[in-house]
Amino acid sequence: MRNGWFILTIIVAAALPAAAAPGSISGTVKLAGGSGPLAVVYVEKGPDAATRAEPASKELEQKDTEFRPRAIWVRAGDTVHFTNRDNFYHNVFSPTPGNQFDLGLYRGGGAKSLELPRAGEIDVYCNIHPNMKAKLLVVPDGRSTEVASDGSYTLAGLSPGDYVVVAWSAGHEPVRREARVRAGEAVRADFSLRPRDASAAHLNKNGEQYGRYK
Amino acid sequence: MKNAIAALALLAAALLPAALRAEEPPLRAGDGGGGFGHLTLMDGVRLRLTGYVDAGFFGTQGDGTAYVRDAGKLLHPEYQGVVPWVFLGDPWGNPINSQGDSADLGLDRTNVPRFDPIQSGGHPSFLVNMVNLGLAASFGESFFFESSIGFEPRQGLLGSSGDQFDVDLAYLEWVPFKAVDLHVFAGKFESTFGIEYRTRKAPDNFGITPSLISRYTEGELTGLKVRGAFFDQRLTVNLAVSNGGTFTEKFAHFFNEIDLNGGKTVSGRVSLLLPLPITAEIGASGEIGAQDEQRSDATVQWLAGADLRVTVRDLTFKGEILRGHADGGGIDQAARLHVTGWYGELQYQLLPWLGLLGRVDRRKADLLAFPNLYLTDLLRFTAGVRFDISWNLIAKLEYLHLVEVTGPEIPDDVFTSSIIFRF
Repeated sequence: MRNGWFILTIIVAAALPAAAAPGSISGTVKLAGGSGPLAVVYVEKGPDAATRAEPASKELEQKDTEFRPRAIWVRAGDTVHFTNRDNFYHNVFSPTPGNQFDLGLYRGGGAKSLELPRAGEIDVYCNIHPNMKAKLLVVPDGRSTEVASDGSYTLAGLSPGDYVVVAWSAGHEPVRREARVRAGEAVRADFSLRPRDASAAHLNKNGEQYGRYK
Repeated sequence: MKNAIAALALLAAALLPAALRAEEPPLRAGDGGGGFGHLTLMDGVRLRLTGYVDAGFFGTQGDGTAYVRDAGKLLHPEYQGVVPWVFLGDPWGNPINSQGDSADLGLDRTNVPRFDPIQSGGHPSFLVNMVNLGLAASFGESFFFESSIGFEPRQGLLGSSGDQFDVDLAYLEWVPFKAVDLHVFAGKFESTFGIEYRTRKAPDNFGITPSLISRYTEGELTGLKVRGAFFDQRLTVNLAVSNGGTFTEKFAHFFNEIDLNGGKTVSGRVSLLLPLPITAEIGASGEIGAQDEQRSDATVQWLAGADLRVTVRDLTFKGEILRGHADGGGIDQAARLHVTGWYGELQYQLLPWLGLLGRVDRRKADLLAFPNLYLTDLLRFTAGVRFDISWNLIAKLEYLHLVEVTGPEIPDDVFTSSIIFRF
């Protein structure tokens, strides 16, 4: 009987870590044509995240007729504060379907806040200054990471299962890859991103050309 | 007492900067927000109404005119027997609003019909400078229509109202490609010369008055225009073929709505946004064509110029220089013009609600509009201040000091003010 309990204990001990041991996805992101302002790798689909992070906030400044930084990423449910640090009026709007918004005009020193409940890439513009452009990436949850300066990344703490992972950069076309994570194992996924075509002009918040003053 | 405290609290709340007030709850992306408002009359066509009202108060030195007659041609005897009348100064050197209207055009000693819209006689006066209405319509992402009409309540004469209206814009804009920033315009559209036309309307102008050379560069063109921006908007090319040039010379010596001749005007500007950490744009403009207001295709007018715009944080410098010529003469006795001019303007947005302006400009010209000869060598200094009360409401003050470089000094300084409501 004692031997029986001993064997059962060993089996349970062996089985438990295997079920709970998280895996990871790591690799490199190569950005053709040089690095962008920001590159992120995130989980687009996969087993539910073990924990849900509390909503956080980030700031996107308007300074010297530019958005600074030109790209940021947040998690769905987070808030972005748009602070006008110029001494003149700015507007912030996005025509991106599903994440459309218009924060209106506000003078220097003012700030507006925007909650981002839906994941996706959002184009951000100013309705007065057509050259002001920024990209906002809203990732579904906390399973995301910025790519290091040497191009490497690691998504750790992933439950076993099948994942769709996206490598995203503001200046490049995003690339999706599927990966199967097994308990305690590290899966490798490398990405190579091509530059986006940034030549096309955008429309103003009314869906019109920016006007005659060019 | 309680009422007084309550009123004081309300006033303080109104004056507090937005940042110090209770923070507004965040908007949610996907909910649309406050924009995207259109009046839709037909399927797929979106309409938008815009406009502004510009009212002001002005006062001038002297009798409100900025030129004098060289009586007996004492100062210019070389024109004895050449032209009947010689005038010194610049009739449009003392503008009181964004259209460049002069406070007074003085007595018409020559019996040549002309319109003097303000005739203040040197007396300070309130004035509605402009009521402007604009209608914009867009169809899909490729077609856009804009029109703008300005109404100006002005001084009448002998029972006529004197009020004016001007259709300053009426054009169709076509964007043929999604991936290329190329625009084709047909109708009556903005100038292709220099950079000052961008701020010719009161709400867009940092100060109140235009430069001394704006009369050559701000005129709208009727015809066809192509504008393209390339290399991430660093290179912009503007080219137009039109009835006439970009002159808006107010005695109408160089402007026709309908062309009187068969020769068209070709105009254009090439500009480069320099690859610097600051915003620095340089441009070169030119135009040439059959002279306006006369019938011959062989009588030519031309303009050539360069411009610079630099922005470093809250400080913007912009400047332009030009040279122009009109042959004149012929069976219509068309006006003859030789002109050089320039301006440099500094704009400083000191605070979000307070801006300061300084400008120096110069115009040297001889304009023979028979039987009148206008000889001008004018240096002008302008100081201004603007208050951005809100996006819709702007107040401005400006003082212009005129120095006649050659010829008699004329008492023609101007104080002017403007309050603008735009929508």
